[in-house]
Amino acid sequence: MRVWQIVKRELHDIFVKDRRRANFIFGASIAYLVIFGLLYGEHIVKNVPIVIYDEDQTKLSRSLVQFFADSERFNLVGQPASQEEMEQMLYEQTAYAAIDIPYDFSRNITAGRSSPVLLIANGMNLLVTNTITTATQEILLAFNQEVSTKLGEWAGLSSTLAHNKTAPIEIILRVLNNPTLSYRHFFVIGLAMATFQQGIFLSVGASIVSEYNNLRELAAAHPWQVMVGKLLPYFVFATVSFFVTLLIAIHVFDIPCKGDFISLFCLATTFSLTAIGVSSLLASFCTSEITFTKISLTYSVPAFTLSGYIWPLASMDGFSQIIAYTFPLFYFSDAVRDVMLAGYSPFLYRNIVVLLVLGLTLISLSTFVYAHKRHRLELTKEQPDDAEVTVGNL
Amino acid sequence: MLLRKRFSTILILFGIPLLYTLLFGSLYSANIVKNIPLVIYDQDQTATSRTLVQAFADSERYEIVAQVSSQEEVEQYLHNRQAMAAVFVPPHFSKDIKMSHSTQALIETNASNLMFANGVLASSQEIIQTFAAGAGQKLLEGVNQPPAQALKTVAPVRLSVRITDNPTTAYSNFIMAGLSINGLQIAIFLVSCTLLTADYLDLAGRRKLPSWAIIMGKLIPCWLLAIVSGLLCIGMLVFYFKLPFRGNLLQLLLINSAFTFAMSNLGLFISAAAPNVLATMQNTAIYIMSSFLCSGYSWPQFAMNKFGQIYAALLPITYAAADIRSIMLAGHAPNLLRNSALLFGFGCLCLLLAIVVFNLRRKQLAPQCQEGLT
Repeated sequence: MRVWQIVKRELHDIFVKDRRRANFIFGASIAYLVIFGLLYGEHIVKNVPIVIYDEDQTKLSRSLVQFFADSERFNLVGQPASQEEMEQMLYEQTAYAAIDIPYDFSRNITAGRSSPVLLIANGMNLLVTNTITTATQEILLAFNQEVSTKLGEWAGLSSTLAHNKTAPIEIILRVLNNPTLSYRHFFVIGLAMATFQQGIFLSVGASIVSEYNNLRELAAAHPWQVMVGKLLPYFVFATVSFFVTLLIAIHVFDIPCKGDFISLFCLATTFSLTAIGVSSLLASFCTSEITFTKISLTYSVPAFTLSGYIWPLASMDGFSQIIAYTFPLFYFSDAVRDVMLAGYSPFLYRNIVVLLVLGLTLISLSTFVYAHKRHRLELTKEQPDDAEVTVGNL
Repeated sequence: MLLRKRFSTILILFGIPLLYTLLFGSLYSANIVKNIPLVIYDQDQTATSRTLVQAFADSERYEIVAQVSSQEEVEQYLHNRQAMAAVFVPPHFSKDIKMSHSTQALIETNASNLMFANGVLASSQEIIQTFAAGAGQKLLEGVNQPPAQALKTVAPVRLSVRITDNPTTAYSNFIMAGLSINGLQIAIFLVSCTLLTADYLDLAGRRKLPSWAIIMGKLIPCWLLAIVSGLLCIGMLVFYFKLPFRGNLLQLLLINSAFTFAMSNLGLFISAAAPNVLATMQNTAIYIMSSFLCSGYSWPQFAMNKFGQIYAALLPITYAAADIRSIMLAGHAPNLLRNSALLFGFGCLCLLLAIVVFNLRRKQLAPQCQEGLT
């Protein structure tokens, strides 16, 4: 049997006999892209419920309250009338942050004494906590500048001079690659790529396990021909699926892509090769597809979490770093995000080489295992045949 | 029976949650992204600019990897990822401050990974604002304001920050309870959605047993083992990874029991209804694997659009993971009773449906089975 015939047989399996395989390889990454593209539709955390306990109730304190009410980062859900009421709202988590403006706030400022404002933030969800602290700092910086300029003017300085003396350094922030700090741009590509890997795993696993259940069918073909013929369609479809996913990400979910096709193509093909290698080797040792699926699903969460996509490699302990280096996703998802958002990845060539070597090694190993198992079957084949004859004679 | 015949089941129920807890507990042990590589381009090279550079050097958030002498070198460091952030001090920085001409300090950061960007934005602004307040104070002293008065004029409103429940903003405190519960959810799902497979294959062997008895016989061991597994995970977090536990054990037991009950019954219902266990396990994996991130545990529900809010409301983990974190960090969870009741209610509904569907399918399959026997 030639390679092309095995490819045709596999194509029939993918699109006619067992359509799940086509669904996995084309559907998994797109499904996740859609779910999380919609989930992170707001891009940044906005409307954090906040309460302000304004003990002062003066024009100045109300102007500070207005600064918070005007910010899209906060949603002013209440203005409690007492400390207890404020604490209660925090306790019940109807508000995630509270601002306490003291009763002598305005008097202190106009008298030239500085006045403290207390921010109480719930620290449990760091996404929310970061938003609260950063946005409050920005609001108070703006408020301080406005007030201090007025104070400077009262001290006899001109408006510009008062501003320059009270705010001598202007901070300019230049945020590269993801200027709006969009969570969607940061996160969704990685999640889609983790599921892309899972799609390859499940489809290739199904193919290999079914082949092991039917080892005699391709006994005439050389093991290399079998593996190349079986895996080639998955390699091609995985690459196509990768680009379809990216096209949807770019055109439907507005995720920018500054990178070039060649970089993405090299990453996609080498990663597909590695993922096919991992799944074909793993499936060689699984007795059933259910077992393979269980292992594959269990692996999917650590594969993403330890890939360095979110928690950077430099902040991992030694044990986690070693594990991260062994995961194919480590060489892929971060690089894809870099290529898309920044237009390049500094580790592109290293990652491509590692993935290529890893992929070819794993596929060679799985071919070796296949050849070995088939050889063992051929050795034992004669015995059952003899037994059948014996039973027949009896 | 479950213990003797189903060693792999036990392995999954205990192995996955504990493995996840161990792996991710180690991963996030640093708790905060520190030592962000920073490059400095100080074009001023005066005592004032060096004080600003020193402020960055003193912060544990940063590790100054180089002080360069050209814009191109900065770009090169950022491009090669040898630095994730850069501070530019412009020429005449010190002179401009002294002359009361407003000057600028530029912070540049790579934001493709928000873990770095958020850390840089929060801490660099803090450092520069503190520095600016000091500089402003000196300037106003120059127009005959006393030092204390000058500082108050520059920064009339002082911000005191009190962070409750997780004062050190430790990442492991934030994420670990959820990741462990997610591991538990996956384990329960993998076990429970195949629990009735063998019974469909062996209808003749158990034809005398009523459907509810078979299902209860499956549910109870699975549920009890899942409860123990969940408690072991939280125990590992508290005793091995030293995460705080400020609530009481009863609260934890309540929500843990409710969640494991809901998940076990959901799996049983799938197992009873699914024509093909493997396909069902694979297709519902999308739901089970995505549910943690959609539950509002990290991306809050108030920041979600309508789609996200509705989807989150349908996920059992939405009602459990954040509550367990809240019990651990705050000592209470405001909606504990409501959420536990919802989970138990959802579990009972799934259980009822599982019994009905299993019973119907047994009746449908029984004649075929009889024919097979005869």
